[in-house]
Formats: sequence, structure tokens, C-alpha cells
Amino acid sequence: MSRDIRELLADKEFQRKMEKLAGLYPEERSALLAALHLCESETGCCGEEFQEYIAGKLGIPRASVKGVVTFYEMFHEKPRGKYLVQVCRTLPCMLAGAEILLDHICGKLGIRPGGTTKDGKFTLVTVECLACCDRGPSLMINDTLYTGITPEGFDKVIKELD
Amino acid sequence: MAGELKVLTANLGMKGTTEIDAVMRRGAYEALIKAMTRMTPDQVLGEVKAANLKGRGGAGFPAGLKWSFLPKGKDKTRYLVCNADESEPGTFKDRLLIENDPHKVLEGIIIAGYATQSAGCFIYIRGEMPQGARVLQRAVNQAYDRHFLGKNILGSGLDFDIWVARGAGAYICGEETALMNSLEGKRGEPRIKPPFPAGYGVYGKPSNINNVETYANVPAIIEKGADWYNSIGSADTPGTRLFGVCGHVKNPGLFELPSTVTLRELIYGHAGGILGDRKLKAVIPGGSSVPVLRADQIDVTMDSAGLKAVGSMPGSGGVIVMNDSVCMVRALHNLMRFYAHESCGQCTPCREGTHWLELLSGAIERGEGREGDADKILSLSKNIMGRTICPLGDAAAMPAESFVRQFREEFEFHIREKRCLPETMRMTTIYSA
Ligand SMILES: Cc1cc2nc3c(=O)[nH]c(=O)nc-3n(C[C@H](O)[C@H](O)[C@H](O)COP(=O)(O)O)c2cc1C
Ligand code: SF4
Ligand code: FES
Repeated sequence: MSRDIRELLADKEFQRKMEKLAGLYPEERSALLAALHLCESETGCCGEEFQEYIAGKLGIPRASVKGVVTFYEMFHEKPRGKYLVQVCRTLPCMLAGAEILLDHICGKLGIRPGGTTKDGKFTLVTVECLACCDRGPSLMINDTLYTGITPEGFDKVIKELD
Repeated sequence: MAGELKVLTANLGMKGTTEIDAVMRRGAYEALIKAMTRMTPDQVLGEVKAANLKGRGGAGFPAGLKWSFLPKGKDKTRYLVCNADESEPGTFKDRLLIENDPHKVLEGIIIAGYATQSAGCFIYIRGEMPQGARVLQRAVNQAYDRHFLGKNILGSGLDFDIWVARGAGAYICGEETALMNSLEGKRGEPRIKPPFPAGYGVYGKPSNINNVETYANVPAIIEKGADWYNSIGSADTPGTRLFGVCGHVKNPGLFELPSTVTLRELIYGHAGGILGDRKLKAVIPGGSSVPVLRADQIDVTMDSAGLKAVGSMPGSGGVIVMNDSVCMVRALHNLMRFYAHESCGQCTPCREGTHWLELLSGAIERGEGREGDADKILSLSKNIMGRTICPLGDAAAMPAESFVRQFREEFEFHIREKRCLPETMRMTTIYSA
């Protein structure tokens, strides 16, 4: 998480992973989303440098890569916090108290949805239905799903993050 | 009350069911072996057609018929796609199938691959399910090791691969042609149809797309036959269905039932009744995109015919229950914000229409509504319906139209009094109810 992009591109292990991804699907361009996911999880975003690199690697025009990065919610052009807090706010979770939870989280972290804490530790975003509506309210922190989260439960969860 | 019948969910709640050895001891891949060693592809196709398996992704199209649209012939590359994008609000069945019994899904896909003599299948799983993607990839690797995938599977002459691909957070990528664009590394924008996927799908090749649950039905159909399948459920939707009940019920969760179950049995029987022992107010019976029902409309079966009789549809099987503490204007505003956010923006009626529906419902909710606004919602919905490239426009218009039609007085009260109904003033939570 949050590695420097140049360091990442020079990393042999990373290059090996990219080769593997490019050969994974019947056509190379299908690896684009997987490659962007990898960059997101390593560096916290998919900035211009990576876009240029992956465009060349998969033979996709740079503008198309940018179009893809900006289309999908899970890709970011600018770095975000170390922990991406994604709170589901769709109707079933709303019925389960997502709005109260979100208010609490905003207060706790001192940011609004879309914001990042000053120390760069948390970025808060709202997301749509995470497909576990029977156990709401739901949220994800990076790749980890939490369900049935109360305001107190949230405080406990973030306390345990480093 | 009809009891649960565990066909698709037989392995859920057991230990170790993501491992191929464990599920094979419980009969996994026997249907595949039967299909590939004792039946011709046409016999398999015939059985699925005779079973009248209906698509579980929302539209309910007969799966066997869809498979038969793929052009035949040795030289054509055909692809299957498994839609695991599960993003319809209120729907959480595919996640449970994938995370708990991935081999059931794979077995159904490979049988479909044999029936259609396809080259392979893309499983497109939504980006927010990294755990599911890992479980699936592991299961795929195990199936290769057992030679249920790869070259000349079980000596049948079929070469068949499965590729797992992750989405990246876009509801619209659940729409079949948007999904195919996304698989090709593009923005998830729906394509104009025709051409349909059966002629022009992934990489422009003939493709067939089905939902996770649809494929998961196939092994039991092959194992036990179409007659058995037709003996369960209703005439228009045979077999069992996965119903996910969420919202204000005491016992939310997933229930596998024949669709002859009534909505009342589902809510008050299986899901334990209304939370807080309050009154039922409204229920959306098939994922957020289908028309909402009032409390007096729940004595209907959960198949197409039953729900059609009260103006709704089975959709994706996600049942969202709301008690009388819910403000319907606010609930609609929440949904309209969702559709406005998820519209890909290609068509004016959808891009502008969903945006206006969000603004209007929001204004009414905040006490800024004006006389005639309820009718404006109705006319906006009417002008979106059927005028867009993909059905997302309709998916927003149907709830909008039905919320106003079914709860008109509540909308008028908001506009007149500039506030919520007294019993809906407080924000509801599961913890305090
Ligand atoms: C906006 C939109 C979102 C959709 N999302 C999904 C989805 O998440 N999963 C799914 O299986 N089908 C979804 N569908 C339906 C698919 O387009 C397609 O009809 C379905 O995958 C076909 O499978 P089936 O015949 O087995 O139901 C969606 C459709 C639309 C218009
Ligand atoms: S209906 Fe909406 S989501 Fe579908 S293609 Fe048109 S703008 Fe995009
Ligand atoms: S609405 Fe939050 S998980 Fe479905």
C-alpha cells in the first residue's frame, strides 16, 4: 500500500505479475481492469504514469485507459488515504441505520464523504449496495467487508487498524 | 406454509464446501460426468429447455432457449459469460453461492459449455467482492487439476476454459453488453441492440450470458431430469428460487423456496415477521428496480404470474421490507440517487431523467416540493420508459412511478405540509427498533 509508482514499475516481481496478467485472458486488453486493481492496491491510485505504462503494455490508447480509470468507482487518479472507508448507503442499509452510522463516521474522522484525514490515514466515501443487505449496515475498509456495524463497532474496528 | 427445499443451497452452512474434494464426496460434478459421458450436447440442451429454467438475473428469460440462439458449427468461437456482478440493491444470493459453493456454479457453467460447445466462460465478478474472486479462482484451479477444465474434458472432445475477471464498482456493468465491454477492458457502457450477444458478444464473438444462480440450477436438472424440475415451483418459474429478504424483518436472510410461496409466507413465516412488531408498510419484491407493493398486496405467489397480478415482477429475488416508520419519499429519494449515480450517461432520457427524479424527490423530502410535483415524477417516468439503450432507464422509472402511484397521499402530504408523516419522522435503525 502507498508505494511509490516509479519504484513499483522498476520492481521485478511486479513486472512478472504484469506479464502474467497480460497473458491471462484470450485478448490482452482484458487484463486492463486487473492491472489497474493491482496498481490501486500497491500505490493507492492509478495516476498518469501508470496509465501510460499500462497503455503501452496492453496496446490500448492512453485516452482509453484514462476513460476507464475515470469510469469506475474503484479507481482513483489521485492518491487516497491508506484506508479507504466505503460506507454503503443504499436503501436496505439505510433501513438498517446507515445514515446514523455515516454521521458518526464523519464526526469520528472529522471529514465528509470524499474527504481524506490530514494524516492521510483515512479516505471516506459512500458506495452503493454491497450485496449483503440482510446484514446491514455494511461497509468495506480496503478489501475487508464489515457487516452489522454499529457506531461503537466502527470505533473498535478502526482502533485495531495500525 | 411451504418449507425450504435445499437444492442450490444444499452445501451452504456446511464446512469445507469451497474445496473440490469435500463437495465431490457430496455429489458435485456427477451431473457433469453424466452429461459428458452419457449424453450428447443436444440432449443436454433439450433437457434444460424442457426444464424451462428461467434466468435468475432479473428478466426471467428461458435459459435453454437463449443457449439455442448461439450459432452452431465447429469453426465458430463461442463464449459463455457468467454474470456475477450482483449489484441490484436488495440482492445478495450470488455472493452467498460463490463464496460458499463455487463448484456448483462451475459445474453448471461447464455443462452449459458442453451443451453449446463453447470455448470457455468469463465469470465477471463485481470488484467489491475480492473474497469471492479468490474463492472462485481457487475453485477454478482445482477444477483444472481434476481435468474438469482444460483440453478434451472427460474424453468428450471439448476444450473449455474459465477466466475470472473482476469489475471495479459500476452497477451498469451488470447489464449484459456493458459487462462485455468491461470484459474487453473498456468503459462499462451498454451497446445498442441488435446485434444481440448471441451474434456479437465478447470480442465480437457469439456469446451467451446467464446469472450465477441460473447456471447453478443446471447440475440438478441434468442429474434429476426436467420432469423432476417441473414438479417443483410454479408453471411459469419451475424449480426453486433464492429469495433474499432484508429490511425490517426479524429474521433477514436467504431462503430457497419454490416460487409458489406467497409474499406473506416469505415475510411473516420464513423471515419472522416485521421488526419491532410494527405494521408492514411497503415491500419491493424483486430488487430495487421493480414496482413497490403496499401491505395489502402480499397475498400473491412469488412467481411472474402472482406478482404481475399486483403490478410488479420477481426480478432478482431480493425482497426489501419496510415497516411504517419509513418515509416513502425518503426511500424513493435514496433509490433515485442510486440510479442517477449509476446511469452511464449515454442516453438523454436516462441521464437527465434520473437526475431530475433525484432532484424532485429530494426537494419534496426537504419540504421544498411544489404542487404538481407528484405528477411531474409520473410524467418523467413515463418519458424514460422504453426510450433508452439499456433497461437501466426503466429500472429507475418503475420504482419512481410505483412509489407515487401507491403512496400518492404521502407525497401530497409532504408537498402540502412540508414535512414527513408523523409516524415516519424519526430516523430508523435496526438497533433501536
Ligand atoms: C442496469 C442493469 C443491471 C443488471 N445487473 C445484473 C446483475 O448484477 N446480475 C445479473 O445476473 N444480471 C443483471 N442484469 C441483467 C443482465 O443484463 C442479463 O439480463 C442477465 O445477466 C441474464 O442472465 P439470466 O438470463 O440468467 O437472468 C442487469 C441488467 C441491467 C439493465
Ligand atoms: S439507459 Fe442509462 S445506463 Fe442504460 S445506456 Fe442509457 S444512459 Fe446508460
Ligand atoms: S444496501 Fe447495503 S449491502 Fe445492500
